Amino acid sequence: MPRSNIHRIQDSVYGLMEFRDMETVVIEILRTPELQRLRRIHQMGLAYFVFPGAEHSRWIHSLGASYLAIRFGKRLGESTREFLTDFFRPKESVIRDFAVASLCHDLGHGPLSHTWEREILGKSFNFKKWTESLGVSDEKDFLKGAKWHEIVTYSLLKWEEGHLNKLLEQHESGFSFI
Amino acid sequence: MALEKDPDKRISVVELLRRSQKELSAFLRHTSKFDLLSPIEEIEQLVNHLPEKKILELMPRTEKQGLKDRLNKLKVATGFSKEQAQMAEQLLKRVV
Repeated sequence: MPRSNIHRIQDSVYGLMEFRDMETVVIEILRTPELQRLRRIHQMGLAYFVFPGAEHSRWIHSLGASYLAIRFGKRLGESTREFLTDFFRPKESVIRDFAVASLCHDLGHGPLSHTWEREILGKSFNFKKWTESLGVSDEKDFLKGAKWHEIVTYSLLKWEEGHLNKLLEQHESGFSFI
Repeated sequence: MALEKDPDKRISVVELLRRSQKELSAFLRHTSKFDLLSPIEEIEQLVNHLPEKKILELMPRTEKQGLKDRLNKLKVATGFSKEQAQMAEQLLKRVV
């Protein structure tokens, strides 16, 4: 019997989230150590001490962002069907890529999210030293002005020995990235 | 012919449709699920919003081929003015 290609995750904000066909790559990526690390990072830094409901992690935030990207892409496709030529409407592969980008947008956050950047690293963190130690100094012009977590995100995506990079490489032939 | 007062001389709706589809296909909207715009509307949108050549070069091969096929299909629609036909040709050159 053929297995249905649907993955479901119960979410406290969006209820039962469904990922179908191409979208299931989101679930594959969620399982990588790079993404799993975000389970241990508070989305709202230290706010949970005074706001007990703010216990959620960067991981569930990223998953929610990814789910919303899919919903947004699909809705955009449906609502423009009557007046926009097919070429400009989001295709399934574009929606998938948008979902993957949304899923990875906070990949490089440090402990306690922005609190780490603001209180520990400070605005004048050593850009040169960090880009060198993360192995992305060749791209320093591209990364100029980036926040610390954005530099780490970039380096994790580029890390060839990493599970995430290998997974993305495997899928690359199918990704559109336009 | 379609505006003929004498009903006997006036062409039928079926004939009118057939002729319109043959001679003015560039301006006719479609009713299929995936193809609602007329060729001229599609061409105009592509002229106005298609990215420049260096961006199009980054497009995956299959999508680029799909766009070329679509443009080739659009440009053979009848009823285009010379300028409009040229627009379609220029778009094709941009995609190559």
